[in-house]
This record gives sequence, structure tokens and C-alpha cells, in this order.
Amino acid sequence: MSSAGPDHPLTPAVFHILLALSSGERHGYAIMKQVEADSQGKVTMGPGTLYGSLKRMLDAGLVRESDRRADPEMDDQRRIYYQITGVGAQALAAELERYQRIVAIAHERRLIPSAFSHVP
Amino acid sequence: MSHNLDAVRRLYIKLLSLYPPAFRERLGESMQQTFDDLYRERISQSGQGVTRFVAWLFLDTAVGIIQEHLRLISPGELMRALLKITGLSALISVLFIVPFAIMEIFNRREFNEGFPYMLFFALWFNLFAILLILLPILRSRRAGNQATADAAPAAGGSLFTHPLKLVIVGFLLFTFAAGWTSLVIDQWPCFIGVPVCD
Repeated sequence: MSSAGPDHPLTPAVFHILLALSSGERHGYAIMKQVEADSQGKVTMGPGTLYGSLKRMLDAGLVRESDRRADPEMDDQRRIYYQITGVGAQALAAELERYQRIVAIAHERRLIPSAFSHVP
Repeated sequence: MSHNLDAVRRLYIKLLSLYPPAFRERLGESMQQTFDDLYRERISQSGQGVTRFVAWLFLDTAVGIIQEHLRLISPGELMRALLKITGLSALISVLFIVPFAIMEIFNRREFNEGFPYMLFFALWFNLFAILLILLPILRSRRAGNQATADAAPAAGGSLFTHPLKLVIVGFLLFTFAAGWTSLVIDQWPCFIGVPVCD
């Protein structure tokens, strides 16, 4: 896994948005639903939080606007879709590596509940 | 309770208009669409707790608006502007109450009363608050630059283009001005040396 990416950790909102976009481009509402699904309902963000983060991510080059089209599963209103960039993918990979290291440390210190003890 | 998407959407659009122009132009339409999607989803699910849900959406957006305005101001510039405005307001307030303090000391020296520190603190504070609100507005108006960040709430947009901002600022100014004026009127007999003035 690539270790390239920003040195500083990502905020939870940015991390979850990148994670949501890692499986394909999405519009704002779809990003919110994917974040909720990925976190099993534990992370919810409103439009203010989502688009504030998207603005910063667009400025930082982590995501870009792809195109404007209708979502076939919704109405025929044209929506702006966002996609992760190469820089964004690297940042996500770096953050996941950080999490892996932390989980490894927690495992060494036997801090992880026994239910997850099978995770190397 | 009937849920009127159009009315709620109109309110949300008004709220979105408080975002800085650049943010609004780039993301305003997407935000509006997302709000519509969330609102319709909540209605279609159960219709329960819609009001609380909408209130949360509005609150989340309002916090985002404040954050975006604050981000327009660089930290160093903000601190310098705040210190300058605060210092200037404090100094001018002191200068304004000095004449009253001189009157108090001179006219009441024979009554053996203690100096009313709390009264003069209240006089100073009301004036200080008025200047703290007014000075940034006056500076940005004089500079003629609506995007100048002077620690004013109008960063990214003029105070006078948003009626809500005008109402809030007007209310605060009126409150502090009324406080200062009522104190001066109430204590005027004391300042001019009237015995048993309280």
C-alpha cells in the first residue's frame, strides 16, 4: 500500500468522504448515505459539514467535480458528482496505514477486545 | 402536521445566501439539492421527527456559514485586527468617561463618599461595547472594501446586504446605547454635586 500522502492526519469528515468516494464518484446526498453506511450509522454529517469539507478538499485537490448528470435511482434532477483524485487516493491510503499501525499497537498491548483477536 | 417542502426550501435558500459569495456560487446549488433529498427521504420514511431533523440541518448549515466566514480571515490578520479594534475601543471609552469622573471627584469631594468604581466600569463597558461593534463597520465602509476582514461579521459580504445582520447589530447597539444613556441620566445629579442624589 502506498505510503505517500499528507503528513498530518485527516479529519474524520474528510476521511469518511474519501472512503465513500473510493468506490466511485457520487453526488452530495449519495456521499452522505455512503458515509452513514460505512460507519454503520455512527457517523452522520449535515450539508454544512459535508460541503464545508468538500470545499477544502476541492481546494486541496483531494477531490474534483466530475460531471453534472441525473441519478437514475432518484429523480431526473441533474446533480454535480464528485470523484476522488490521485492525491486524494494517496491521502486515504496514508490514513489507512496510520490506522493499521495503531491497530497493530493496540493488538500488541492486548487492548483489542477478544472478538477481534484473530485480526493480525 | 403538513410538511411544506417549498416553504422549508425557501427558508433554506435564504440561509444559504449567508455563505460567502465564492462558496455559494460553487456549492450552493449542490447544498440545496442535498437538502431537498434529505428532506424528502425523511418525509417518505415515517414523517416522524421531521421538524427536529430540519432544525438540525439548519443548525449544521448555520455553523458551516460561520466557519466559512471565519476561514476568510487569516489567523494572524484576525488577531492583529482584534487587538487593534479592542485597544482603540477601550481607549476611546476611557477618554469619554474621564469628564464624568472629573465631575464626580470635584463635585462630590465634600461628601466623603467612596468613588463609584462599579458605576464607571458600567459606563465604560457600555461605551466599549458600542465602539467594538461600530468601529469595524465604520472602517470597512470607509475603506470601501466589502471583502476586507476587520474582525467584522461582514467578512465576505456587506453588513447592509443581509437584513438579519442589520437587525442583530442594531439591537445590540440600541441595548448598549440605552444602557449608557440611562446611567448618565440617572447619575447626572450626582455628577453635578447634588447632595443625596441616589
